[in-house]
Amino acid sequence: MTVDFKRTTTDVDILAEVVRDKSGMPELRIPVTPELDRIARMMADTYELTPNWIDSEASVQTALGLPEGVLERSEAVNYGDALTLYFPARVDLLALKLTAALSRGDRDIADIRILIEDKEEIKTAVGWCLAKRVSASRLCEILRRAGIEDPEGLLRELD
Amino acid sequence: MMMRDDIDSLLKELAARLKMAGIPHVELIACGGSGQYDR
Repeated sequence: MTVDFKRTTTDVDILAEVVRDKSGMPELRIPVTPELDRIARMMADTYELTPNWIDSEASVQTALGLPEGVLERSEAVNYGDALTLYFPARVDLLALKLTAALSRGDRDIADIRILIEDKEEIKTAVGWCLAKRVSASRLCEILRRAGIEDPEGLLRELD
Repeated sequence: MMMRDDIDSLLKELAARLKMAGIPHVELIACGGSGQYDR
């Protein structure tokens, strides 16, 4: 299950660049190629866009890395033959948003509420966060604020 | 505030400019910024 951009998005966050070796095997690289930034900024000037409409700064969302298999679960969208964007599956976005909320709080809660739908996905995302040794109590606090009634019980199910 | 179609058009133009700049196929993992998801 993937999610869609909202109808009034103002930017595109780039989580990582996919770089392939000679055999085509992908590796994830952060930050992305500087040339992309340069061209995106030129377009921002041309069309009076926010300068970071392509936000390729290493995001807080990737502070703990990306979930294993994120690329395979993503939906690929080709923009011509020079650019492919991979949009992560909901379970991966949830894991990344939980990570982000741990460090920056309120601004991610609304997104987490939208992404919380499937219990198994929630458990997978929470399990990924816990494997990164984040604070369980802080994670519970975020889950509760996002609408999970018994986050401690959810964590116990992961034991 | 840009609409979804605007973003798509901009990304197509970005792709064209990348190609003109001689940059090989760029692959990115992307998502919307904060407060920008919808089902």
